[in-house]
Amino acid sequence: MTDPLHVALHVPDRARLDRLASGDSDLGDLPGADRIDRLHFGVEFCEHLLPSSEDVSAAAAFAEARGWGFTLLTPYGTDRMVDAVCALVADAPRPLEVVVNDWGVLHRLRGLDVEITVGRGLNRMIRDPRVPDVGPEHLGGDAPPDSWRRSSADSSTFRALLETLGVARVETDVPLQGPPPPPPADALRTTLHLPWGMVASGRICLVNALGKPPSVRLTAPMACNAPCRKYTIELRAPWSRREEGDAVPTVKAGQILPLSRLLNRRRTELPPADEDPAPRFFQKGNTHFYRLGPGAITEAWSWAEAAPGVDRVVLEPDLPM
Amino acid sequence: MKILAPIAASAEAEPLVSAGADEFYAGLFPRGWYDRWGRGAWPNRRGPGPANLETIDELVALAEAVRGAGHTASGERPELYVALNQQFYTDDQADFLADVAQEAAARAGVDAFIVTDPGFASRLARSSMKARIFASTVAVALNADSVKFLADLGCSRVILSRHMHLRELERLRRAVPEVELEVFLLNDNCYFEEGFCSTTHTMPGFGVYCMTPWELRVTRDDRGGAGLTDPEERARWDFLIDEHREFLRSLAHRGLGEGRAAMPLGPCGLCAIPDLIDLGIDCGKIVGREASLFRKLRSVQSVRHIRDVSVQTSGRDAKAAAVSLRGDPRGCSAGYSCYYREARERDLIPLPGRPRGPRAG
Repeated sequence: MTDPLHVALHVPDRARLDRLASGDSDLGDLPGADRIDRLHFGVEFCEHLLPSSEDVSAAAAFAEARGWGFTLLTPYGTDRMVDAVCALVADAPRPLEVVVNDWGVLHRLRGLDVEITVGRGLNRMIRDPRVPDVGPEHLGGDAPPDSWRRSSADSSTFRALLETLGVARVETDVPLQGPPPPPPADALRTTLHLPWGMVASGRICLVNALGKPPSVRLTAPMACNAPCRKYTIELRAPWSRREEGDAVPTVKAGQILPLSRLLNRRRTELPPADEDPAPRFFQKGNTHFYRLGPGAITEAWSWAEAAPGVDRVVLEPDLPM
Repeated sequence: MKILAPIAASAEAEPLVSAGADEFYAGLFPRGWYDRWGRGAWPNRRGPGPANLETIDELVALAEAVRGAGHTASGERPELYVALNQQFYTDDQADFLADVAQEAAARAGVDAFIVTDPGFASRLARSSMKARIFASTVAVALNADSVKFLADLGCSRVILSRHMHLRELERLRRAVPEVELEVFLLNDNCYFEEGFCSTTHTMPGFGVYCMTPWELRVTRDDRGGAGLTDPEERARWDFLIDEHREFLRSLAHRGLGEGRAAMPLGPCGLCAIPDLIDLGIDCGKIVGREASLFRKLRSVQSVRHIRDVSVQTSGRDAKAAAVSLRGDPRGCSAGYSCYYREARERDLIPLPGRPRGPRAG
């Protein structure tokens, strides 16, 4: 029988940390919320949301006061970001785990007195939210491949490389198509994020573009005042969940859609999610996420408890940005 | 700066070298791979079909055609690279492709393999093959340290992210003078960072994820997730989402330009060529292994022409030539097709003077 899972709590920023500290925070009904022993602080997918050194210190102090471990999440980005991350790490209290989603950050932090973990941005896998609704008819009669349920960490050469780099842990998601097959016996120590999984991310940001001059809209921003901390975008898919059949028509060439089905438009209201055959996803800033439902969370937790190497779950009450 | 062109057939080699291509890259989707892993898993970033060769024999013939196609503008033999750049491989897939790479290097004399997974790159670099290893853009190199990381694995060239600014390239170039750097120049862009896109292109009927025509509901975090109620705020978002649709269209091919060259329109970095040459970027990539020979030829001709004007006259003349060649005043003024929007010269292109949305205030 494996040891019980450790449970960490993800807090993306200082504002939410302060709310948590004041007791004004709801962890919902996520499993394991009663036995948290680590704080994950920061974001993985946007260089403009890097916390300040002061915020990192406050987060580390919050964790220490509770006897929790402390993990700093870091994103991908340019040279300026790598320098900023290194400065944060230099100032942060020890012991410190740093989750990296940029090979350059890993390169710079090697040899320092921190524990480096490879984040889910670098542990590549298929987290395509359309996959659960894909069948052989979409693949010319072929079954969905086994690799759609695997990740970089399943590769022995990837694991061997991380070992030479001094990395002993990776982070991962459970995709919507279900948990992967059991990892190998020599799997790296693994942290599972629940319930939000990362679909896609990039420097070009729709939300950053709001109100900006034309010359800088929809290009990689050089600076950002984080409008994503104010806005979230709910995305309703133009297809039906597989079990619902064709309840939501997909767009076909030459099809004339009624005004009620104009796509790529803002909608003031959407049908209630629990009555809607169309899947829903979320955009926060530059990143798309999916959310595992209650049944999938339970399945993912069971997988984590049984899987070799998986020893920690990070609870994300909010979108992790 | 060398011109890297896509190639998918032997007959393309000679015309593309004559047009100005210095290097070529091809793809391989072996029949043995398809038999084992089917249509849903790809060995590189394109599926079975016109973008990929099916056998090593075809690759050998292609390599011979490339070597026999004459010399490049700089008097060198054109080189041939093969993409093995899927995000990751399972162990059995990696074993299969390592054998393919060995055979491709030995029989076809492939000059380099373009790889994403760092474990696989390290494996190939440590093998007995003479071929070099290049790091694909899918590995995501946005900074000098990531280039150094990939170089330490054995990569002699790194293909940088599509989404970098010229000043960021300048800093990166100065920091890693010893590594070849390649950037995108024509025909393909991604909405997301390709390496951080966990979706698959392998599903006909579903299309490309980033082009999914969603219905979007914008909510306010500071109001407990409530929707937008203020009419002006709604209008600003409607305008932005309209623009976002235009931007998505610019990521793909948009027909032909209005100029005499009938330039195939798509993502473009022609205006940036003089800047990239000044920065010392080693290679500019034209995308489109699956494209028609016409598109490939026009692309190579365009890049070569702008490169020649840059070298022979001035950067400004080159930018003027790029705008004229492209024949896409609306697209160039919007800037959505630009890899390097800041490379545009304002007085050569009518830039949008004000947003098309409602007036502020």
